[in-house]
Amino acid sequence: MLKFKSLLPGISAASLILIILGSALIAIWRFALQSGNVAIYLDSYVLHIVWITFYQALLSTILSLTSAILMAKALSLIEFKGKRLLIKLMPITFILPALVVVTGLLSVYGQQGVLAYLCQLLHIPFSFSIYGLKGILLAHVFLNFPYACALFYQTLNSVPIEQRQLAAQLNFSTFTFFKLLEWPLLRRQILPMAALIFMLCFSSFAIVLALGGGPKYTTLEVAIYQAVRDFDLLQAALLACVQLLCCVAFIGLMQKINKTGTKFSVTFSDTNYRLPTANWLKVICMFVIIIGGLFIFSPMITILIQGIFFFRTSLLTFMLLQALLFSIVIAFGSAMIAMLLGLLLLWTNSRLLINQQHQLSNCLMLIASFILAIPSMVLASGLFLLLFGYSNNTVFICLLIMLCNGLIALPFILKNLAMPLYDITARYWQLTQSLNIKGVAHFYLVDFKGLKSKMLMSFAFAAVLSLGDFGVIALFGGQSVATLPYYLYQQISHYHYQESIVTATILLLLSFSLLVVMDYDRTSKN
Amino acid sequence: MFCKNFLLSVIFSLSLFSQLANAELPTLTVYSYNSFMSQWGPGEVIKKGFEAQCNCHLDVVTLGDGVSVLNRIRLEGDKTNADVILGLDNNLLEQAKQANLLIPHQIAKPDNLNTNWWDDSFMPYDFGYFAFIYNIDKVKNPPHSLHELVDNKAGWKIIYQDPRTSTPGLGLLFWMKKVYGDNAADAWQQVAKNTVTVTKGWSEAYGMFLKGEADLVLSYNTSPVAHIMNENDHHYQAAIFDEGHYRQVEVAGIIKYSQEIDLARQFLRYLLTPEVQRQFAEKNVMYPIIKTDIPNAFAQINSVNKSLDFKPEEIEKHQKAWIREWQSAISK
Repeated sequence: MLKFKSLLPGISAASLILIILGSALIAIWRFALQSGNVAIYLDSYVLHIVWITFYQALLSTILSLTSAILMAKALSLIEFKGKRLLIKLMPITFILPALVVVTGLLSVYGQQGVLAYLCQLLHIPFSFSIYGLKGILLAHVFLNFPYACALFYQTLNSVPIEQRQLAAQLNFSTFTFFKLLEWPLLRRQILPMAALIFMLCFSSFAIVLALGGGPKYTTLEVAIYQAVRDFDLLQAALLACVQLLCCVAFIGLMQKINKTGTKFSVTFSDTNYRLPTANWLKVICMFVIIIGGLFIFSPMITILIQGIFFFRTSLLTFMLLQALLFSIVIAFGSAMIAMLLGLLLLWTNSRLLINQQHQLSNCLMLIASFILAIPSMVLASGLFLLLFGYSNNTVFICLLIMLCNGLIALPFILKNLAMPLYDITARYWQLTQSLNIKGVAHFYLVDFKGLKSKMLMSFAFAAVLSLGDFGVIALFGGQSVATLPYYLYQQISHYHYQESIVTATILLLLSFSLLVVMDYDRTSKN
Repeated sequence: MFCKNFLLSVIFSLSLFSQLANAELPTLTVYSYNSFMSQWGPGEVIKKGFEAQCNCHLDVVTLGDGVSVLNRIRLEGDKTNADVILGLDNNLLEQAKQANLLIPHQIAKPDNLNTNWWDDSFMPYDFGYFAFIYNIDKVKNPPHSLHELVDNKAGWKIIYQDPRTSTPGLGLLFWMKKVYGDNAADAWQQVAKNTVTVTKGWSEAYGMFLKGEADLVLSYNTSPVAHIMNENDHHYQAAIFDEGHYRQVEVAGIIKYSQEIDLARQFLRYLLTPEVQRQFAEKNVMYPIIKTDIPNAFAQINSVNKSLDFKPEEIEKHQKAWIREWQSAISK
């Protein structure tokens, strides 16, 4: 039986999101209509951009997912020192400011990068150019594949031990094992993940411009940014709707294909059981992991090395420390907001799924990821129009940034926790119903106790994701709330390029330590 | 959680306190771009200097770049707090005029202007020229004209900024139009052959150039000054072109909704004093608008012989069409 009470948390969270986004968009429409600035144009160039945006996003998604599955499978097949750390640190590529991603990728694949240097040492002519479609794809895979991989790895590991043992008895080959046991679990994750990555790539902006090699490859987001700058607000709002529509259509399609009908009984056993792996397969896995690891970490390691090289204590200024502090406060605040909204939504979502209400559950998940499809400039302008009376208040700006960053992190929290939370709720459903455990008690006794480490990890992840700042700051005034990425751009714009690498290193180290400390699992045995 | 609340409340009470402390003094609010008030920008010194003489409180609100500043005031309309807008340039000026946001500043044109530019609504405070920067170790024989760069027999690799998203990019668009006129589309196609990439903003482009991704990057002819002053690095130079260089003038103006017009005018006058002008030269790395004593590094860079620009009205009229022309020329 579905009770209204169990719907309430999710519905209130979802409506909060809808109200924020909707009122921002409506504020822009209203302002544009009032000011009589009603230039709208949907020329062939816009249509061309929509197609290019769609095309590159689709390719990026497919590539990211394929490599993520490959790497996750390889990781699940062999055991080695430092594996936990590797998986923990992987998603870090997600949070880097565009500028750092570009710098990192260029120090590896650029004309004077590590790769070019190696080729020179080995007397191989280096003719690889990172610019163009392949640059965009490279950057998008670099950004998205590690996150997907970390999540898929967890999924692969959640195959119940009984099934593993049975498979070993039946002498399953690795392929059969994957097909019969792992694939059904993985399938639940792949399509939602595809939707998420697609959206991120669809609205990608600075990276696409920097590595795209010219306006031949640009995204709709660029056109929206341009419209906001030209003050064609109606056009901006219109394009934002086009973008939203494209993303919603894609997600809808994914949800249509993705039928999450089957129920799983996942056991929570601490002992691990591993199927024997053939030696030749181990070699291949090792190879895949080394390539993947190098792909993820070499750009960051080059940044770290440069940062240490350029480091001087004189760079530790008061402004830098202040930026660091602001970054941490905002990161924790946003993670808190994201976690709260996420748990409210998932609470309802689990109960919807238990009652076989897949349509409604899909809807709920869709609403929660809307924010990724709305261009930040449009959201910022809309929120500004609504709230500019408060724009001089530092605390208020802080809260607003937290809210926006929290909303951005929300879809990721949902991705991380939706399935585990559903599984655990379903597992204890009969028991909790009969014992009349409800509300906060249910959350504490079942959800929190069962998924503590997963929740902490998601929290850390959301915090790291929010270390970067959001476009909102551009219109609300910057100097009062200067975060680390903001400080970094300031340094570059004053020609302090080397110092900016040090700031990037600090940002990286901060994210590293957040992920390691928060994810430190005290109960684990290794 | 407690820590966060505590911190926020401390910040909040501090800001409240500072507002109370200045309650009896009149406040002048200036809207400007981010880098004006940053650690390395001229803002802090200017603020202190002006407050020492005006018996007032100067509040500087900084927002993204010049376009963000203008758009914010447009969004605020007559409810704006801004008294002075500082940081628009000659290419944005007509948009600001058409939005009808300003009143004439009524400051007489000084005799010792460094460049011939004056306007009734906007007062210039510094200027510079767009130019391509190269590393003298890598490019031994730099181009001497825009035509040479466009024809590109040497195969120089170029990075520039997107005119849709950045000021220097827009500057190059006008520069090309000024030199090539109706043939600009062909010239752009020619440029596209040797373009490494077109970035969102100046920071990305310049960072990529410093990483060695290109031979020439679009920036300002004063960029080498920054390298000399910051790290005593003499490896970077601006390529000086025979056709001349497109000029960027940074301007400030008085918002018509201001309640403190006299104070605002006093502030604009203050911007023209030698000590402030030197601040702009040193920290904005631009030429001061009036003849004044500037850092030595300026004497060590290549100077521009001829300046080019379009009239603001022409820009307003054609900008969108020219951007579309660029877009379609290089998307082919």
